[in-house]
Amino acid sequence: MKKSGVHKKFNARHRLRLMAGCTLAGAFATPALAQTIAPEPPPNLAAHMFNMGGLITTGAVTDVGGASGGGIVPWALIGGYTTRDQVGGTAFYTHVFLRNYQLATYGGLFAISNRIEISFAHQDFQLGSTGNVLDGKILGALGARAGTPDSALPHALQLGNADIKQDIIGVKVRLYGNAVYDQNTLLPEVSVGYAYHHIENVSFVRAIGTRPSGNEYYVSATKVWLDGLFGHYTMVTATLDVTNAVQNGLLGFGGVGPNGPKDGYHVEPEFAVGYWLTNNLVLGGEYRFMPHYQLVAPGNVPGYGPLGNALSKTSNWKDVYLAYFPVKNLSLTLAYADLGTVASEKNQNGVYLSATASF
Amino acid sequence: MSFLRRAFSRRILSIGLGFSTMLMAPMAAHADANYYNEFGQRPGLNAVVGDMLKNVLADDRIKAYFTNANIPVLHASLVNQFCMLEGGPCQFNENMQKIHQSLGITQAAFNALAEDLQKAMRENNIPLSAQNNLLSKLAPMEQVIVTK
Repeated sequence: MKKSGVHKKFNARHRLRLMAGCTLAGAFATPALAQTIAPEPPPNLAAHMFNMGGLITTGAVTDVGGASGGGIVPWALIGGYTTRDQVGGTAFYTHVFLRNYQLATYGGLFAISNRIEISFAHQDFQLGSTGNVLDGKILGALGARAGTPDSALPHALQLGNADIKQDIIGVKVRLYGNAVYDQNTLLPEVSVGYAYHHIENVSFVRAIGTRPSGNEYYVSATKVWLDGLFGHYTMVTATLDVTNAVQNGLLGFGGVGPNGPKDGYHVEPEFAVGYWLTNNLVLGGEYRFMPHYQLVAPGNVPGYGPLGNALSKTSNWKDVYLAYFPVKNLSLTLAYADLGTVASEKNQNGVYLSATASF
Repeated sequence: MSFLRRAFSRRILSIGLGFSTMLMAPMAAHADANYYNEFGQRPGLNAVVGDMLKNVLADDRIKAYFTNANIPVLHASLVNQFCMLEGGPCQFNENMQKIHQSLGITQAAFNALAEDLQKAMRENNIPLSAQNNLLSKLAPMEQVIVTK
């Protein structure tokens, strides 16, 4: 502020001369400027190809399914820092500490020309001691007497302290737009994505009436304003997800109806916002609607019905996140995630930690 | 149940729309002339462009583009352009497409120069909103500057 005062004085004294300078430069710049930049090719094409030419923070956080995005919602941005003539990728690790469960996820993606990303994620949903609690609930719902050992359960329903493991392979293609460059239009960057999910605990998901694999299709639009709210970068993303994944696939795909399997896809909206506190620190939130399926058996079936009702309860997922980029090729995300009721256990919320490295 | 869900999602949608209109308002509110002042007017822009070119000429990613460049002319021209873009009393009538065509400028080079500019603006303590306003005016020029 002190500085601009000095400049004001400076400007008052030199305004005429400066304005004359502007006009002169304007008049003479055309012929001179044409020769100011030499048509030199970049010195090393191979180095350039892998040089992460993208701008910091664009597309370098990974969502829990392995696609570039925030924490629980895929965004339209392509992962990593590739530009139109580059290839690159990211690797990530995410750990979510919920009240009763933990979700550990690792994976990576390969990106081509800021156009296509091919991603992989492995999720390890750890039940811990809650597995035995759930076994007790299952026995109770089936009418077993108190003190009945877990081993009395049908083998496929025995959880113990097992982990539920899911693999996700995804592909995302940018259709049009560039969230960073498109500042003179309201049009967002738009991408479509597909993910194939597979649960390794096949007999368990069959026992609860879902399928071990499923498909997810989405279209996502991301708009970034470089001079957004109060002059800071501001991002809004809307994603439409077509899916039959129960708890994002952790409890399988589809459900049961009165006449057997009921696998119909649901269309679920997802939203994300981001606000850059500084150019390498992003504060935001996400909201993801989740599909609801009846698990195990229709609610009116004695014994298994009430168990199904309890397991089926699904809440919408939400998070508040803070993503920090200490350097361009590393992002650290700290979030508070609230997944609601998961496998009959309420209030599954907690800390979400994630790191993504770009190359 | 499904009616409730639908009503709720409609409400979320309208919240989303309301939020985006809320976003638009402050963007239009800030008069451009204020940004020119926040840059320290012409002397401030001179310093920013000077530091930016210093960064560019030391930047292994892009310095080769400037081997035969007439730096003082480029400097004056960039000051003029930034001055005009930020609402200052300057004229800049260059055709950005014509100047840059057939130079083989990559997106990565375009972005590298933007990073060098950001570094210069940070070093000169330009307010973040003014920095971002200039970036938002320069960003769409990617379409005509990058050789495709």
